[in-house]
Amino acid sequence: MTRDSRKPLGLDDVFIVDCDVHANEPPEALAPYIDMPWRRSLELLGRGPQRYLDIPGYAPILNLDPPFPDRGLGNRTVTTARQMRDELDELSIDVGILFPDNLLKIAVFPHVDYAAALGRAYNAWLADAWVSRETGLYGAVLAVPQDPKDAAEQIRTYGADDRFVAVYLPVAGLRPLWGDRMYDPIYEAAEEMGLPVMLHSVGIIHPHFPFNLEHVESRIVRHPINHEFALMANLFTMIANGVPVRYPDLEIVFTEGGVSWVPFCMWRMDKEYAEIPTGAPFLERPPSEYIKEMYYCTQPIEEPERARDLVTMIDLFDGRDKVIFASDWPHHDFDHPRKVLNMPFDAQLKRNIMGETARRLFKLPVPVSVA
Amino acid sequence: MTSSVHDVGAEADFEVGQPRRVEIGGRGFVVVNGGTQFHAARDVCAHQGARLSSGRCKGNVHAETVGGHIEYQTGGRTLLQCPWHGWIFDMATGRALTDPDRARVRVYPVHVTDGRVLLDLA
Ligand code: FES
Repeated sequence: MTRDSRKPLGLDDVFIVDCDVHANEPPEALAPYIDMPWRRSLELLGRGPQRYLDIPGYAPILNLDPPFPDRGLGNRTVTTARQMRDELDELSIDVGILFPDNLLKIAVFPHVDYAAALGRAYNAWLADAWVSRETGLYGAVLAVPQDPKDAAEQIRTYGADDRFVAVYLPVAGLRPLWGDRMYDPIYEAAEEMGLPVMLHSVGIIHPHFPFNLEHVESRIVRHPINHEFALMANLFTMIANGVPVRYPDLEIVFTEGGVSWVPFCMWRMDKEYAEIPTGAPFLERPPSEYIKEMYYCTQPIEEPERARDLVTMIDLFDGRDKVIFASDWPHHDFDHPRKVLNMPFDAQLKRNIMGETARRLFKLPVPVSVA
Repeated sequence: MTSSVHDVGAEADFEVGQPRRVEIGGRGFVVVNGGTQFHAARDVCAHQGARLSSGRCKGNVHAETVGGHIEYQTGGRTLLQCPWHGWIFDMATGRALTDPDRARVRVYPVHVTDGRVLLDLA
């Protein structure tokens, strides 16, 4: 590459992998991919009124907030691969890993067969209409937590397709949490297929912890609890039940939580473990050592008063090759890659965060233009 | 007209509360007709660089006491909300409502003379 090494890295100087972008899947889009009787259900839902991430029986929401006059931000959606490619080009993003929109809430459905059928339909729809090596759009196989056996089959089916590079573990409304042994078939399959698992939450009100926030007035309280607290709770259970020990080749990724909660989890879990090692009988090392081996997506990137504090934060968990860029495009709290690239990281750390670490993690081909 | 003053269009072309982007010498500016007054700023959000001209003018909520009246302010100030993450800027000062000391966009004087909108970049 013939760039002046004294000049700061620009967006076009680095290979950018965005580990979290969202494909919008209205019910009628998945209808052709789902078996009866659910096809009829989705067709009916497709004809009904639809609001943003608010479709009863498909993307259920308990919305307790009154609307404010001209409340602001439009809800952006991306409904085709073409649109996604064009918009990621605008943001100088080379590769995107796709997550759903409505089905971020799939873990709340009590009907196991329906949930499993939705998951299969989503994976088939991605394979058919979204993922391709040419456009740099890759899939994360949706693993439906209600039916781990079926999810494992999906992982084995799509994991053989090199357009799928990860497994998506839904977090919102999940019960039990991801450390529970009922999910072992999912981890087994993901490890066998060499696919990292990626935990991703979304803002909802739901009876399951930590989404039981119907009594909390403000959305700015609920939103971080729904994301960061939920990730922490899941991480704790995964550590306690020895997921990283029992599946040593499994890579674990946390999305949409930023990075500053990671040192807290390490130190807190180490303290608990030192006192009560029987609480995590599978562990062979202190919890922090496993937590340092996991991966953390940047979005929503912390914006501390002293930007350098973010570098210190990453060093606290030896995260220079564990932090990976995500924008969360097109959601309201997305991060522009420029924001992360302009943080006071050295050039190598910038390259790692923006794409190199993710390229290795997801075994992505290097595009000719950047190689 | 001094060289720093630029004619950016007819007053009638600026609808009240509708931000508009104008370009001068390759740089973008957002111009807003606030009803009683015009405002202008660089068209680059202080947060992550979105075009403020793609945002919209809006009100803001404010409370003085717990359980008291929550005021929805629309009058007086011209508030422009960024289209990306929703930061709100007071167009008279260029300062963000929630972090006025640190988050600012540069503002410029605008005048209307003989039905023409004149932006002063001095
Ligand atoms: S870019 Fe304007 S609020 Fe983020």
